[in-house]
Formats: sequence, structure tokens, C-alpha cells
Amino acid sequence: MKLLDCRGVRKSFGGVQALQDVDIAVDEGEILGLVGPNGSGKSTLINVLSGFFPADAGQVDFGGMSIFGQEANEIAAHGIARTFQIPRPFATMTARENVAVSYMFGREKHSLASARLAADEWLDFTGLAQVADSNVDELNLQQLKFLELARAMATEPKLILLDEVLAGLNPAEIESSVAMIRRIHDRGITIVIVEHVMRVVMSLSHRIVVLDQGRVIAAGQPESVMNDEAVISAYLGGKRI
Amino acid sequence: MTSRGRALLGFGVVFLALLALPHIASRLDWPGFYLTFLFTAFFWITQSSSWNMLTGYSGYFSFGQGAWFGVGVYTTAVLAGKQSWGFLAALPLAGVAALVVGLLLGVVVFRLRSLGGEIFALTTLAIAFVLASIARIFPEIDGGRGSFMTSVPLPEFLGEFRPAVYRMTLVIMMLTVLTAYLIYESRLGWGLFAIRDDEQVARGLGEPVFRYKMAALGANAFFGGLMGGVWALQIGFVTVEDVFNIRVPLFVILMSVLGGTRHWMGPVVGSVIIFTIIDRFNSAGFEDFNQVFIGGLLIVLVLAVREGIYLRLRERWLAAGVIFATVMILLTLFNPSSMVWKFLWALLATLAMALVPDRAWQRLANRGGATTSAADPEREKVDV
Repeated sequence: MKLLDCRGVRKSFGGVQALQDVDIAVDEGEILGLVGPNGSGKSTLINVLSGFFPADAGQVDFGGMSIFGQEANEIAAHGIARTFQIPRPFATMTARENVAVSYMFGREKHSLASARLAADEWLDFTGLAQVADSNVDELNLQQLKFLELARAMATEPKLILLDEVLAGLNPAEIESSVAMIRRIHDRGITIVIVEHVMRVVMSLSHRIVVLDQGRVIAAGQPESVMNDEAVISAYLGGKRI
Repeated sequence: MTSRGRALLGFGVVFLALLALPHIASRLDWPGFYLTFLFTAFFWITQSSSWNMLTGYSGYFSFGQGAWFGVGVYTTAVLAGKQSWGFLAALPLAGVAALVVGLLLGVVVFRLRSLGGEIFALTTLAIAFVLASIARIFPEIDGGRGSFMTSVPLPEFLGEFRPAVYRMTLVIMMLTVLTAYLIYESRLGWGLFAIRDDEQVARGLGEPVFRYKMAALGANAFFGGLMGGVWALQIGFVTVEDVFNIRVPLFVILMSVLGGTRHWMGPVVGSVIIFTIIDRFNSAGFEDFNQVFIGGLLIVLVLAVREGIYLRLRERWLAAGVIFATVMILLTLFNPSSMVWKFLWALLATLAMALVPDRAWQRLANRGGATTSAADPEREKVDV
């Protein structure tokens, strides 16, 4: 069943068409890999889907309801959470407070008292329990990326949009992050993952969508997509190795 | 008892004690200016605490305090001064009028996404100028001639003029600080802190940021206006130049920043410190040096204690309490000066203690054996 369905989504910045008639459907329970060269529109799509940028045109349905043109907070209330490529924690708060704020607002509204308990639960889930009381400037990059995940999970989403969660991490950290993404998926959460580390996308994703210059140029099973002529030419400049 | 229960009890005790003060003052034959000193302090505490609900909590820098204050002043000046309404009937409308102006401004500036924080600050500054012009143009409001508040009758149960103003400003101040506390301890408060740190992210997590910013702006304008409504009485002769000037917004910023904008108590402490110093300087006849001195002191304080004096004092509450009490007691024993002067000296001594940098303070505390080495974060890191 389709959880998220976008048809004909367009977005331009000045004269640059960042997204041109993008059609993407995400099935409930799947991990969808979103790949493409730099500037292909992956991050723009994440920003449009999460309501950070308003789209110029198109249709976006989530759980059978149109969410096109809604504000980011309304979209979050429907159950779409996102993370940022460069972590954006609330800088004056501790790790626990970051997650607590997220739980308070999120999909459902919760009281201040319940938020602390819930925050501990999600910090535990992401292995951040021992830094719960640390200010975020004491956290390293992987901890900050996991804090992004804890914060996204605390909103109790149905769908998480992961924007390059692995960028900047070393191989060991990548491995533990992949395990974390699988554990999130095991909780029944649908995931859209934007990623440059191909090996990871290929192994994690059930399906892959390839964007190039704001268009979808291929979609399907990981192996078949990666052997697609158009994809190879987009990535490697038209020559097959 | 929960921490909220304790705090509410504390509010109740402070309120009752301050409410009883005029009775005690008349029994003990205290000079009248004690009450004036206190209610002027209440005025500043209200103005800076209400400013902090918006700017300290949400990070949206406002120069609009003069506008909310001015709308409040002119609401009672027109209704009670010119239209002969009962003062207590006009007073709530001072808050409501400021609230309406604040919300109108909020709808415009918060709805337009492209407006950043700087534009917000400039807009709040501009609104005071616009309101001043409106007051000057319409004779029904002011017409540039000023208006008298001196013949406005006050209800009898409030007592004489001075105790009456004292009681009204006390109630408004308590309501304002209580509101600042309740917001601080609520989802609204946390939502505002999140906006201050990263509004886009806060919105992305599901926070209705527009409503929250409107609530903060509304609370700020309402209490600023309400206190302005009472203050028209104290001003006596209300003129546009006296009301819509840069004094109120400038002082609330200084007071809140000095006390600390990250805590609801910060503006309270900052207001008491700055107002006391200014008041004593004026009474000693140093008006001319006032601004030089205050400016210099502020630079030192703000640079030395970035997080605000309140949090620093709370960290060193024992030393602060001992120093303050010692100076007060010594002066009471050996110096016949007025209570307000004693308060000033005790305050300055406590401030001097607060200025000692953290590192030096840590060393002092270690030498004194007051704290163990485990409290020294540097040492702990080496072991790890």
C-alpha cells in the first residue's frame, strides 16, 4: 500500500529547476533509497516533502490525504519526520531536552512531565543514555547524528526522511549507523534514505529511485537500477566500464 | 511537594509580605519614598519580565516595549483622564489595547516568512514612532498638548495615592512574574526555547511556531500595557515625548540581559540591580555621571557574566547570601543611612563577588576546602 505518493512535483529556485515533474511513491514498510549525483535534487525533495520548502506544483498524498502546501509543523503532525545532513540540535539544550521537545510536539501533543520519560526511552534506543545530560556541544558527530535519529523517533512518525545520515562518518560508525537504521525499520517505520555511500544504499534499500537534474531517471530493484544505462551515464558520464 | 507547588507557595508568601508592607511602613513611620522606590522597582520588573517572555524565551529581539507601555499609558490617560471613566474600569483595557496592537503587528511580521529577526527588531522600533505620531495628531488622544492624570479619582479601598499605586503595581508585577514562571515551566516555554535555538527545526518537529510566537508577543504586550496604564498616574502629566521614547525599551533590554534572559528570574534580578543603582545615583545628585557609570558597569558585568547575574548568584548562593547579609547587618549597626542606601551597598558587594571569574572562584573554593577536587572539571578530564 502506498504511504506517500507524489506526482508531478515541481520546484524551482530563481531560474533553476531543482525538481521537474517528480513522481515517487513510497510503500508502507519499505526502505526507499534516493540516489543521484550532486545537485540532482535529492535534498530539495526531502525539503519539499517535509514542508521546509513549499513546492511550486504537483500532488503529494500521505496516507491517502493530500498534504500539498501544508506547513512543516502540520506535515510533522501527520507523521513525517526528517533528519539533517549537518545535524541541527537545539544548541542551548541537553541531549535529553532536545528529544523531550521533539516528543512534546511531534505527531501527538504530550505533557512536559511525560516528555522526559519518553526522551530517556529514545536516548536509550539510540545508545545515547550516558550523554543524556550533556550539552550538545560535547557530543561527537556520530552522537549528533544519532541524536537526530532519536529526535525523529520521538515524534512517533510513520515515515522518516534520512538526509545523508552517514556523511562524514568512519567505516565503524557507518556500520553501527546502518544497524541503527535497521532497528528503526524493525519498529515498523517506513524510511526514505538519501545517501552517497552506494554499498550501504544497495544493501539497505528495498527499492531505489535515481534522480538526475531534478528528474527521476530510474526506479526499481537495487541491482537492476544500478545496471540501467541512464543511471550509469548520469553517474559516469555516458561510458560503460 | 512538587517544585511547582513550592514555587507557587513562594509567590504567595512574597505577595502577602509585600502587600502587608504599606501597613508596616505607616506603623514604623518609614519615609514615603520607600514605597515609591519599591513600586518603581515593580514597574521595571514588570516591563523587563514581560519583554523577556518574548525576546529572552523566543529570541525575537524586540524594541517594542515602549510601544506597549505607551499604548497602556494613553489608554488610561484617555479613558480615565479625558473620558472620566473609573480608573479600575479603564485599567484592564490598557492591557487589552496593547495586546491588540501587539497581535496585529504579530500577524503581519510573523506571517511573512521572508522577514528575519533583524526586520522584526526594526518593525517593533518603528511601531513606537507610528504610535507617537498618531497620539500627536489626534487631539482626542493627545494632540501634542499632553494630558493631566492628577485629578483622576482612585477607588477608596486602595488607600492614599502612594499606597494605591503601590498595591496596583504590586499585583501587576506578581501576575507578570508568575506568568513568566508558568511559561518557563510549560510546553509553551520549551517551544519558545526551541524557536530561539532553531525555528525551522522546531517547526519541522511539529511545533505550531506561529501560534507560539503570537502567544509570547501577546503576553509581552499585555503586561507591558497593563503596567503602563497604572504608570500614567505616576507620570501625572502625560506627554508623547515622555512616553514614546527609547528609555523604556533600552532599559528593559539592559536589565534583562544583565540579569540573564535564559531564566524567568533573570529580568527580576537585573531590574532590581540597575534600578537601585540608578535611583541612588540620582538621589546623590550624580545625574550627569549616571549614564557614563551605568554604561561602564554594564559593559563589565555583561562581559564578565555572560549567562547573566542571576544564574551566577544561584550557583554561589551561599556566598551571595552571606555577603549580602553581612553588609546589611554591619551597616545597620554602624551606619545610620537609609535602608535603600544599605541595600545598594550590600548589592554592590554581592555583585563584586559575582564578578570573580569561575576559574578563580573554583581555586578560592578549593583553597578554602569548601569543595573537593572532584568539582574541578579540568582535573577530572585529565584522569579520563
